[in-house]
Amino acid sequence: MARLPLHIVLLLFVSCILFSCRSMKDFSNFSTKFFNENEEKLGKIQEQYKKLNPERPFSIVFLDRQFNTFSLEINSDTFRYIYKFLVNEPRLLDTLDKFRFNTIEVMNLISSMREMHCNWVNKLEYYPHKTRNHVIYLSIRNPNLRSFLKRERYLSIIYFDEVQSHDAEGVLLHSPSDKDPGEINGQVFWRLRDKVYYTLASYFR
Amino acid sequence: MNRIHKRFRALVPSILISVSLMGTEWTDSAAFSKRQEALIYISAMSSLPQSEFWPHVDPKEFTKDLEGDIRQPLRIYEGKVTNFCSYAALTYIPFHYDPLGFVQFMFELYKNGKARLGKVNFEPGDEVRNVAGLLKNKGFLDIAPANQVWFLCLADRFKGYLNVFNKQFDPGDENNLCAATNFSKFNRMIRQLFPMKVKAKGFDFLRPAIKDMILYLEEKLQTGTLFMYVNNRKLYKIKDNTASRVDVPTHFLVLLSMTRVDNRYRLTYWDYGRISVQELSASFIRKITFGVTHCTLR
Repeated sequence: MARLPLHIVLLLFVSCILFSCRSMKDFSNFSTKFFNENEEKLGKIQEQYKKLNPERPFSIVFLDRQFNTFSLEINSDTFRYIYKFLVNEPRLLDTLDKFRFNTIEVMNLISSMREMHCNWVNKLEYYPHKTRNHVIYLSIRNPNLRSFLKRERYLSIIYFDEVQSHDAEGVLLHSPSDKDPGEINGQVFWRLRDKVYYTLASYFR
Repeated sequence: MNRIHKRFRALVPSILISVSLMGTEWTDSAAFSKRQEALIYISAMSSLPQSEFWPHVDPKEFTKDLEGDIRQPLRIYEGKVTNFCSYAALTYIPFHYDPLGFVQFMFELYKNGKARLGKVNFEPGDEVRNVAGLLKNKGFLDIAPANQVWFLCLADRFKGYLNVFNKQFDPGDENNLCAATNFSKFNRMIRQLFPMKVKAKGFDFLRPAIKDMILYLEEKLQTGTLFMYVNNRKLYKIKDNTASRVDVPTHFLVLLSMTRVDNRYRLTYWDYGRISVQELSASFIRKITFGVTHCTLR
């Protein structure tokens, strides 16, 4: 078998690396496109969670890429109970029952999260200008946010109750007079809608 | 039914812990002072003037934060994305064994810009004093100026090999290696700050040479305060990319109880400003644990 010349091999190698690296711009374009295409389904997850959470504060974290295993974290002021389940595990229903969750609604939420590859839903507290506030936080995992040499990224989408301020570039501000971006969960966010912002994070929770 | 019964039975220790920790009075006979004494001291400080040493820490907010900490000692929170978890964990000791002594130290530090706790003199520089009260985007820590003062002083005063490349504190360093704590630094801090006898087993990169980890934890829990140095990324599954595969400890927590449920262990521990209850297998506990620090009063 004829050998490939060295320069061709090198060229192929460099091309592979270049194609495997994606710029942040690619990821950002993906984020807005993904949100536009799935706005309704993502909004549904947010609505389902928002409805269930006040009864008994909780969060759901999917732990594997196949979205088969998840952790249900049930919160009180002092306690956080962490349970790990397989999606179809019978003891999940026992636990939901024990904590008096609306079992059907929670199962619907889990199924919506799996469909959208949403691996974390939570109500997150933050303190802009020392006042307590909260957002509904969704993390999305998607093959388009992975590349060969770069760390995996997660699309984080936050839903506010009120319209938020932003600068000319769409960066979230905690108040219109702020000069610095308003961070939440250690991240700077960009506008998608008046009450919906996003970021690409290296961690999902 | 039997399984549910077992689960409820296993919940009993955590309920007892919550009742004892949330009660209005700390009743440990080994404690040097009681919570009530600390609250009386704080109420006598209601007209505290603005400190010239801590320009961004309002005296009323400082006092209110300390009072909140004493009333709810488990609420202390290291802040989002900071490296303050070791400092929050070790604060469990003064809050539970000597709240009055800690409160007196904090007020002295606020009034004079310097104070002594245990064998350690704290006299932070301008960089630390000008940052305290201004930390933001850290969650609950944003509105906890007394905790900001305390954590920043500890990060500034104690140094380990992780801090060797950045020993001088500057704004923003709370999130990076300047504030990080390795296992020996953690144990040194406890030994120097509090009258505790510390027995530590573990290392920063290797798991401790403990023959039966579960038995060791169960035994030590009976006789003192137990801190665990764990791989947080595995415990909470923060991310699932290549970085998480590096098997190193990143987090300190206070283990409060451990009970067997079927073939797993129900761990009740304090971290991130609340008590967490989680069932883990013995092998997983061994896998995530890199250090165990057992503290008893001297």
